[in-house]
Amino acid sequence: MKAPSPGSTPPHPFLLYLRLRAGVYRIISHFLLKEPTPETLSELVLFLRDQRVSRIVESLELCHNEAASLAAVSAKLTEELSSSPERLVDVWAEYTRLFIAPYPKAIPYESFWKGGGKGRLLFSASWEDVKLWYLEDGYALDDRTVAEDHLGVELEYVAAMSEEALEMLAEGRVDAALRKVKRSVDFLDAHVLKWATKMLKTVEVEAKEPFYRALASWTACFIKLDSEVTRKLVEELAKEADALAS
Amino acid sequence: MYALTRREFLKVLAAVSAAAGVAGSMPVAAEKILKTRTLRKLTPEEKLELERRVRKSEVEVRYTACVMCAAECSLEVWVKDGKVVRIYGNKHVHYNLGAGGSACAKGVSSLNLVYSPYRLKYPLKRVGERGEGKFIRISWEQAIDEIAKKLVEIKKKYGPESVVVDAGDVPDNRDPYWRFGFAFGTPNCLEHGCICDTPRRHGPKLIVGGKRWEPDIMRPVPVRGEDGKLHWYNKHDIKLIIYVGWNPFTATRISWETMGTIRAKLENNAKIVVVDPALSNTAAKADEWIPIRPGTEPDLFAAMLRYILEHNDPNDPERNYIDYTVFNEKYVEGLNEFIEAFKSWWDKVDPVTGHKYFTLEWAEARTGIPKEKIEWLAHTFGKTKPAALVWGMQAPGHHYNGYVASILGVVLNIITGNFDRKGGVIDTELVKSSKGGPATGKQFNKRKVKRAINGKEVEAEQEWLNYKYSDWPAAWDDILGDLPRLIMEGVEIHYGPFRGHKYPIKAYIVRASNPLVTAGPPHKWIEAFTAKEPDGSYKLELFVYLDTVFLETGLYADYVLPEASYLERMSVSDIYPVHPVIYLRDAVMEPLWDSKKPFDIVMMLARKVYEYEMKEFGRSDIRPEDFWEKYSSEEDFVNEMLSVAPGRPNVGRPLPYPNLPEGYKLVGTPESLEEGRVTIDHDKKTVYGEPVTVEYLRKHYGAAIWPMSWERYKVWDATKGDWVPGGILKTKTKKFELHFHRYEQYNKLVEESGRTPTPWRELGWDKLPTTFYWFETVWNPYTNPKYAKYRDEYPFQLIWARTHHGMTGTQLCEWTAQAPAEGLWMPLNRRFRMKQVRIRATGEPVVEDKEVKEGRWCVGTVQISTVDAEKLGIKTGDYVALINPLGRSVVAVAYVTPTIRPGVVRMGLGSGGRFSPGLGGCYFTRLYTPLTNELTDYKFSPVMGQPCYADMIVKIVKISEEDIPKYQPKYVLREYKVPGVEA
Repeated sequence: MKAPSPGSTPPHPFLLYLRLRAGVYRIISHFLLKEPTPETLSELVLFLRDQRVSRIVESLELCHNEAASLAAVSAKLTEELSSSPERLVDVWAEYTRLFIAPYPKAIPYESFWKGGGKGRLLFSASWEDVKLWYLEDGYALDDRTVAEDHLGVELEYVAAMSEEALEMLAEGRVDAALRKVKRSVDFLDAHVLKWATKMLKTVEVEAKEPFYRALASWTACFIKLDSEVTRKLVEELAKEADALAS
Repeated sequence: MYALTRREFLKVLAAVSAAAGVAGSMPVAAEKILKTRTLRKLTPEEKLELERRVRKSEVEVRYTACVMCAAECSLEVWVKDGKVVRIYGNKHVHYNLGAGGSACAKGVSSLNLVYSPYRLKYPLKRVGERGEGKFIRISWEQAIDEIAKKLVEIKKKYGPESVVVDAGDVPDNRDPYWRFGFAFGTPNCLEHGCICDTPRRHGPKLIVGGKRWEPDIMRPVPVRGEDGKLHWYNKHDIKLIIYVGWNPFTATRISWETMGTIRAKLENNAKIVVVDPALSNTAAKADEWIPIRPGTEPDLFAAMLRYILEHNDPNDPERNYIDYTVFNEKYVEGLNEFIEAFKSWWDKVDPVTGHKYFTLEWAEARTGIPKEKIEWLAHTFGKTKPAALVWGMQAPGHHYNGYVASILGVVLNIITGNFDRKGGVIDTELVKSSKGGPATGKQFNKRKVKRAINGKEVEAEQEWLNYKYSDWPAAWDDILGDLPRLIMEGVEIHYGPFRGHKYPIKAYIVRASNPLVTAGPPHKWIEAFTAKEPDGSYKLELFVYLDTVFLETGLYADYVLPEASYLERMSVSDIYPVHPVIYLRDAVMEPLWDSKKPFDIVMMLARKVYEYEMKEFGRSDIRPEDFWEKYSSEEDFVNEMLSVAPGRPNVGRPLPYPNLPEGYKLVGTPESLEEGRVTIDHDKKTVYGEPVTVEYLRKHYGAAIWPMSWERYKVWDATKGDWVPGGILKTKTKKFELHFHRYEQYNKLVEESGRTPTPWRELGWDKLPTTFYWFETVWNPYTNPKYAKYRDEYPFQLIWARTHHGMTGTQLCEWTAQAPAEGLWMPLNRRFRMKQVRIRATGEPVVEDKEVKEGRWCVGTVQISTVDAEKLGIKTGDYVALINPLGRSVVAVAYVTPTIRPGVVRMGLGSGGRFSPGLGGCYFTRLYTPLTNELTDYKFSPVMGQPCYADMIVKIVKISEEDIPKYQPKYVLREYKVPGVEA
């Protein structure tokens, strides 16, 4: 199979979708792992309101209402922060309350949630599985302050796999790229979707900050639909490899 | 399901293409967001190496020491790819239960703590009000920077003595924190010992310079044989053990004691007597259970001593109680003075009972024990040799007048010749291995400092800036319980060179401790933590909490810092054997999350304080050469802690090292001393072998073990051809001191100041008595006339006991939380849901969502006798309120039992009302379980200043569920919601 050709020909829609996907997962990962700042919130708004993003999201019905809501909430929060910078402390406290301490409402680790009530303690078997999954794809945790099965890390992995696939496509390695993407979808199905929905629902219910409610709502929706869309795309593209290569 | 049809798929592609038409490419997420990276792409070589490591699946066996209770057993830990997968007892050491070594359920369940989802993971900064629980995550750099800056501000404004450093519950990592505190310039560095059992330890400290006494039942022990070689001595010699308010089977200080008690009984037919208001687990296995009235242990001991003195007959083998080979003026300082002082009470009449003091009738009236039983006990103890009389932290240790029992207990053991006799009683403090040494930084406390007092400049050693927080000049273990008052009112020094100096307490740094629950009334702590100045700022300007778990105290802190768990940090154990033994607490895995080792925390803080002090003062009390230039790692630090081990004299019979001078202090590994690889400093009378190091301990299964011997209170003087007193004794005269020379230094201070400490004045003392003394405990209407008026309205004496959980933080571990204990901790819960942890057969910890049905989960109860419960119409499982005369109350579920003395109710230490949600089931049962300290008076034992945990009386009211908010403290009723759980 040939690589998608560079130059004046418009990129193949799959490339565009992969870029969107990588960007979205990077963004979600970031806001799950880090407290927001006015700058990162502005960037989030810019991203979500970019016509190229919103059109795809809208036409694919990829949670466009949730995305729009998150954009609106984030924009509003950015405005509030510009007039009341001290408000940021409340947002950070909410992040801490939800994910860290004193008694986190929505512990962001797969080990805690997995299995519909029959899960494992932190650093137990599902953590081990995730770690091995990453290793098989040549990834390892580079930040010992979190564990591999943090939702933010898991989604970062999906983003990284999409980015790798993009690089492969650029090099003409279409089969390898499709395998990468497929593997990331398999990971979503085998791990993320097995627990994150429940955890994110808890965030939606527990969060006092609209930002986290909106983030959780969009994340839950996007992960689910992306998994389905991407899997279908990969399956169909495998059949239509020439189209991708042309 | 988003099942795409072929047509839909084409639509998708079309849509994406259409979107792409806008600009031809997709935007990337902004640079700042994209920079977040937690994963790293491995090089092919790295990937191969990692895969190889995973495939190998090798288990590394490491040795460390437990922290789940104060026994600190040696553990064998299996580590696989950086994760602890198994915990066993260390079968290579004899100290663990049984000769083969084992770990108890508590030890194994520590994985529950290490891998808890509620563990402290990141440094936090408070952004709400204290107690609100509103925090933000910050970096270590920010936390340390802000704390250091504030410390230096406080130092500049109020002096370094305004900072209190509380190194907490586990003595293992006390030393780095103390080192920092002392070097910073505050003498106010303490640890949990001052709220533990100071009255219990008082007699040993006064009379022999020691602490905790235990029966000689630790077996096997290495003993020098006639062949000159060391052999494991595994025979039990003891014939009688009397445990008074001491419950090793459950409360656990000394794990070998459980096994030793049973073995002594089975193998040597030793008689076991337990004197305790409740039928403890130890009592249940004893030959005799004597249910004493709480707080009357001194009365029992005084009656026993009087009986022995009055009925001793050296010529009658049945009444040959006193061992004159020991109880004579050669070995005992102030013998006659003490006996005369004791006898001076014999003709006085007790206003409460109408009997003469210390008679059997008098003791019967006060202790509630039949006089025949007291006589039997005194006689049996006097004639049975070897024997041990041991008193515990639940009795003398928790009473205002525990000193009296402690002193009399020591005398009873010495007079009968049982001290350090084979099969007798051992002062474990005097024989355990030394540790710490210069690493503790106590030398900094000797630095000269100046203070302006009433217009004059006074110079003296730094330690005098503590002395001792106003009212406790003799509190040699320091003061914690009275800290709330000191925060509220400030310190005014009355004793020593700095008398007249005043300063506020402005910073409190506390690690591995939960004083809000354990150190006296919680409402007092909450009041102190939240008290504000008129300008709205907190009186206590800086409050730092460090721990592995988030307990109640942490909710009020300004900074909450995650300390590495015991499996992730290095230090040495603090165990109580009958001969020198030391364990390495090794770091067997890397710290999880963003937690740090105590050593690293202290070094960060020291560096930053140094920087701020240099900026502020142009000099710093923290010197690089004392910290980061001195120690390159925690191993360096621990090596210095070990450098003084074992630090005990070569004394006793059989002599531990016949090849070395008798009486000389021993320092070095057992092998180097054994094989004579030593240097001898005759001036210092010290033998130096090869130092004990971390490396040595790792090569020796984590332990160093030196020989056992007996009669270590004397030394053979070859020049005199006679025994001379000394050896392990740490007294001024090197004898047993029944004249309390130790008190004299404090009396001198008080005399110089012209001000009698308030607690002494309340006893009618202008100075501490230097020989036998007697005073009554507080809140006891049966012995203290002052409280007789409460007898009818508050008919129950309230006492505490320890459950197997040991520490208030380890109740987080549900695996042990579900094991019932003695009616104190029973399956009497109401229904709730929670995540419950269990271990699979594979060894994996598993957490399951579980509904806990009524009556299935152990909760802290109040134990009430069947007789009393019938009168009050109370059944097991009923809600009751306990109300004290101070107007304080708690709610509990009643456990009705014949196994407690009528008129006495008992609760577990920190076993209820736990409003820290990270404690799982404990939190969800808090509404109807008692936070025991809420009923403790804010009153302290008069010499050492410890809270009087077991001196309280209550009335009991049966209540309905609706009444709970009326009686349970408000701070207990607060709500925090935990995921996966509903109350």
